[in-house]
Amino acid sequence: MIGSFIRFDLTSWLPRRQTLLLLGFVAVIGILLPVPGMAITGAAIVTSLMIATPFLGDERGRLDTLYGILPVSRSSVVVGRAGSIVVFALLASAIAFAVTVLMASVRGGSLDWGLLLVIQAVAVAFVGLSASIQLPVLFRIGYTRGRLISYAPALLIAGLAWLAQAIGVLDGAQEAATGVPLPLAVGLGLTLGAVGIVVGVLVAVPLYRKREL
Amino acid sequence: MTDSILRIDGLRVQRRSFAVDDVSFAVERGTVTGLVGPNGAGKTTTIRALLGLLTPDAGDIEVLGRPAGSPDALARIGVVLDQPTAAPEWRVATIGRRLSPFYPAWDQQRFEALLDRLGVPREQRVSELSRGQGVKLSLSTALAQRPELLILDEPSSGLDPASRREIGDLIREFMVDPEHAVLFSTHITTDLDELADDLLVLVNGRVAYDGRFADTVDEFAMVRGAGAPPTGEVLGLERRGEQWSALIRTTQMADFGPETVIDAASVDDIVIHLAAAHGKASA
Repeated sequence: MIGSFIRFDLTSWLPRRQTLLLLGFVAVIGILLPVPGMAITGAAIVTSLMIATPFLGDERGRLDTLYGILPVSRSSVVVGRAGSIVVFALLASAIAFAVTVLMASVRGGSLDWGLLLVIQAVAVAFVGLSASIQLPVLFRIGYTRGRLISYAPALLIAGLAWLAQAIGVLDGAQEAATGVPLPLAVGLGLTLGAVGIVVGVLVAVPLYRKREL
Repeated sequence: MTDSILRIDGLRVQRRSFAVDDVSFAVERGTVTGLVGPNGAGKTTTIRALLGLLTPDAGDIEVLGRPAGSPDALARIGVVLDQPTAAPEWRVATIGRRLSPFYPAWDQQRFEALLDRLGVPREQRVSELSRGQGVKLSLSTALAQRPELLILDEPSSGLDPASRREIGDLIREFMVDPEHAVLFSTHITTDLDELADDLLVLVNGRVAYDGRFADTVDEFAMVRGAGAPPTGEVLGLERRGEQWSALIRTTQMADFGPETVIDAASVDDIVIHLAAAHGKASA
């Protein structure tokens, strides 16, 4: 049933104009900004902001009630929604990567693949962090009451960076990060992303079970 | 067959100033149960509880042998709510494709035939449908699932008589199978006249009446008069100026003298006066 729900969910919100515009925005970043990796970063930010979009559609179309009367468990709904967000993230990343490679060839520059992989890994970690924060809130209280949570991941990272700078550990952290071997950095980012999504799902399931639809 | 397809025992849902309290009833296979009551009586809350859309504070609910909200049970329940549960931008024709993967018994041909029969335009978006067309879409969706139990929550409110008759006809066709059952919540009690086998009246979150629909004629009567209110035992007295009316049990008809008029009680009479008896104005 999870697979059926992912298909159902994607066909509900992926073809919408605003969702497609967001994907187009990722491509525009890659085309307009000459710094390789910006499109990948943009894809992560767009994915993070987009997590709330399907919940808006749920409220507008009374789909929360539909999910309640469909023969699907609430845990399948949560896992399915996380799955469809992962599909969107992969799509946005694929577009970002393709545009980055294409624009590098158009501009005649060379790509630092190691750096791109690290940026992609950090992007995955950011999406995972976003999912871990947003999914529980949006599944518990819905879009209208929970929409501001979309900005929480970016604010959290900005806040942590400010704090690190304020207490004087930011430079040290940056130096330490540059010394991390590439495979470890990529693996760490991907793992953090996966853990974030799993944590988001695990926290969201019991909260969604309690919600009145 | 008289086995229960749906059983609620001691349901309690407390939400701020509103409560459903100690609601118990059963719906048997082969029967249509009319669920009536004034606004705020707890009809929709009861239906939402038995679908698993909310978690009750107390009580046991068993639907098709499963707990409320169980996917196994929901696969065999057709639900029609007061508005379609579909995204406004969906086209009617795509809804079967979207929902069929969830229902093992989904019948696409039946879905399309019902849309055509009920005059729901397939190429329109859900947002473009009238209220009546939206209800007909919900009914087509519910029946295409080949359910055993059909639950309707005020589907006929605001519909024209012809549309209400179409809904009644579809319910009658559904009930040809003796294994099927219907729980039909409505404000328009005349919709139940030729349809309901059982009647459940909720007032103030409690069961005010639970019995055979046909028995209401034998069980209740209306007594009307002017001047001093009756001294006999009545169920809900209503006064309008000098005139008064009251619901009584037919066993008490002899308590009222020739100065009163005694008529058969309609379901509306029963609901209005039971609500008055429980201190709640009827809608």
